[in-house]
Amino acid sequence: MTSRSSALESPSDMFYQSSNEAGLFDSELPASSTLEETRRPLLYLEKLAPKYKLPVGTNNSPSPGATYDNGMVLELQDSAPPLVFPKPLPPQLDHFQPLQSWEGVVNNVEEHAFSTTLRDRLKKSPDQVAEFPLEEVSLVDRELVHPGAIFYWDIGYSEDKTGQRIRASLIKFRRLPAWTTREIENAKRDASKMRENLGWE
Amino acid sequence: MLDSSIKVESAAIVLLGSFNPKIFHPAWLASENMVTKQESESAEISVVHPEVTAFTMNKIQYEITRDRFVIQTTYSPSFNVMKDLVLGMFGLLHYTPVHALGLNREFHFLLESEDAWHRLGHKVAPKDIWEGILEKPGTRKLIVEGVRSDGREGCVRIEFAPSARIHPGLFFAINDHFQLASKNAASGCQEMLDLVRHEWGASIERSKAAAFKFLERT
Amino acid sequence: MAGSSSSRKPDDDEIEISIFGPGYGECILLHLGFGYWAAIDSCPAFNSSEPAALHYLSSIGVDPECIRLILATHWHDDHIRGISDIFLAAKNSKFYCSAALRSQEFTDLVILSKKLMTDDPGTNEFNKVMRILGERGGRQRKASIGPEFVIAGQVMARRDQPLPFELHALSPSSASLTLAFNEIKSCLENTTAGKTVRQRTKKRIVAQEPNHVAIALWLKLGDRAVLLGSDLEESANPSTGWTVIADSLVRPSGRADVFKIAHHGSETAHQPRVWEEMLEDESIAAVTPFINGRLQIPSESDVRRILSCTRRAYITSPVKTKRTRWANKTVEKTINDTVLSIYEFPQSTGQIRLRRKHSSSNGAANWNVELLGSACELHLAHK
Repeated sequence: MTSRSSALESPSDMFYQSSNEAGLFDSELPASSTLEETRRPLLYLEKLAPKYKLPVGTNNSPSPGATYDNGMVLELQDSAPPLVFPKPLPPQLDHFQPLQSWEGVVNNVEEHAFSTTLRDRLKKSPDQVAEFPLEEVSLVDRELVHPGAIFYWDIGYSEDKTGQRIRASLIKFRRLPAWTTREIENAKRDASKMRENLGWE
Repeated sequence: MLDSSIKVESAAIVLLGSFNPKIFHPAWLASENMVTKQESESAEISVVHPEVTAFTMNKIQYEITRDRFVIQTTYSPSFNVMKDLVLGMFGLLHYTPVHALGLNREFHFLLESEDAWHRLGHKVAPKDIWEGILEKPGTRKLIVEGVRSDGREGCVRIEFAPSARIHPGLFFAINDHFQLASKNAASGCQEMLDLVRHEWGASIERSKAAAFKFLERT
Repeated sequence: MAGSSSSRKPDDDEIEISIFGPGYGECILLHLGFGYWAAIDSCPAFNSSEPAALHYLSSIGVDPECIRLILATHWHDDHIRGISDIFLAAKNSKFYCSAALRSQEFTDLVILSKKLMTDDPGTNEFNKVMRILGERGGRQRKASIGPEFVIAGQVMARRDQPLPFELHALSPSSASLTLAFNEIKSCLENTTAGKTVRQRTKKRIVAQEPNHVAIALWLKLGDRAVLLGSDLEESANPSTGWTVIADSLVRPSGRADVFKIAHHGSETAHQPRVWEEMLEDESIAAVTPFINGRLQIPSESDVRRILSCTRRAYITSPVKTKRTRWANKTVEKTINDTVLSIYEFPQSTGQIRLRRKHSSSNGAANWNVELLGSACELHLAHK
């Protein structure tokens, strides 16, 4: 079996272990621990305080001699500072069974509706031109409805943590931070270089 | 048909590099308009600390340590939101050195019967070789790695195991791993941003197609 | 299609005007004799991302390197999708566009949209064109790299032998240019500055009013002419639109016998003086429809108006919308519960092809009109 420290060079190991091996994680907990406590790593750390403490001012690279129990709890082989990183695992995960999914662009906005062009994200159906009532947009996203704005529209079945299934139509507007001064200056510089290349300047 | 056999699916973006966990806070994301104020106020924060930050916000889990950034969700409408968050956060923190990127997917498929479950396990990892060595051998986990077909540095790694969440179920995970050229602090994360922007959608679909192809073959 | 007349390429002495209009976008291909082709605007071919122009040329066995001139009449995305692919394939071509785009603000916009984390067809096409120009420019003097910027009154291309032609730009006027410069500048300001969340969130760059800078063309073929109206609309400002063209003292004289009607036959592009002063009686009129959900041009009244000007009117595809049949009933039900209306993005195979021998006599009657794919006579547009 390869050393876990080299396996952890793969960026996704931590995640791999968590979502499948819930049972294993549970068995590592102190007997009095509840599942809720596993969601609060600091509390967990306090319970195990005599054995572990958070390193201060060090980076988190695993020490060469360390081994990992499913990438979650570092068992010391030497006195190198450990990092305890429990992965909280809820009993039921959010699940959405997608039936259809589009990326849309707003073409026009009127008082109570907006028109859009929709592109099937899976490219299984032709592009569509659709008009939506503004009520379909969450209140917090209404300010983003503007010509050129991009949004995602997903249709499917949503299951919450209790397993309740709901047919859902979800519209979510993309939020990308505003252009920064640096980005604008860089773009202007690139544009100037392009004009120079083309003999415009 | 295969779509309806997916009982749990998830996606994650994993970055290896050098991070300051304290920066990543729901309030910061809201101040930069990457999430709404309401979303940030309803975030469940586990820890925000110079060494580790972990919180869940709007069905997306964030976990950041000094050398690792992970964002993940099991809610498929949030897959592209996750991509936008990475582009947004690291568009602002463009100087962050990132030397590896993982675009990861996981599935838990419900199989039609326990027989089918056993058949799949035997097909992928035949047990004859263990006769006389192990009593009742069973596949616990199988990891197979291949080179990238796009010529980039990195690999594609697939993990296959019985599902710990559903029975009879198959756990299938794909790590679409990119090793980036940027190795020093000066180079920032532009290469990662370009890859996430251009590869995320294709990687998501490629991974699902790979899982379905595997299932069809078995 | 091999062997059929629709796949025959034009003879050397045959002029061809092919108009493609799938319902969103348009493209005009001109054969000006002896293998000299020109492409004006671009739209995708049916069920394909390949430009209609390249798809058609391939079907009739013409090498795209025969395209010598490419014009983007304005930067609205429905008119330039795929134009960079045409330019890439047409290695010997010159690229023309409105002088309104020769501005610092426009190139800033083009670069910004490239950095935007999403597709933006309009400005992205220009970005690709400029990249191709830059790559080709290594072999040329910088001054001749291009693109060539066009303004009203300019002769864009001409040839005396073997078959003479002249391609004149009728627009944009200088007043239109000023309007365009201001519009691009405010587009850039809206994109990069702003106090509200809506203003500051990155989004696609959308041209609000590009049509007043569209390039209308007058193609002189010996003593005959063709008027290509692009998307130029009439406006209240007498210094822009069709009025200024009709009033112009420098526009070429004569009357055209073919008219590619401006702006999809809409009322906003209609100027009676164009019909009275610039076109022959019963000239051939070609229209490309614009179908965007509930917005459909030409309307029935537009059709009646055009037919009152000429009976020889054709359209590249009927003006009708189509709804997708969703295999999954839950999807269909949810869509119907959510939207006010939904239609398939228009696609069609429609092509109006006009051919005539260069030596044939004047008059619209001497054009051979072929209606290929979904193209039909205009009076059937709403049937």
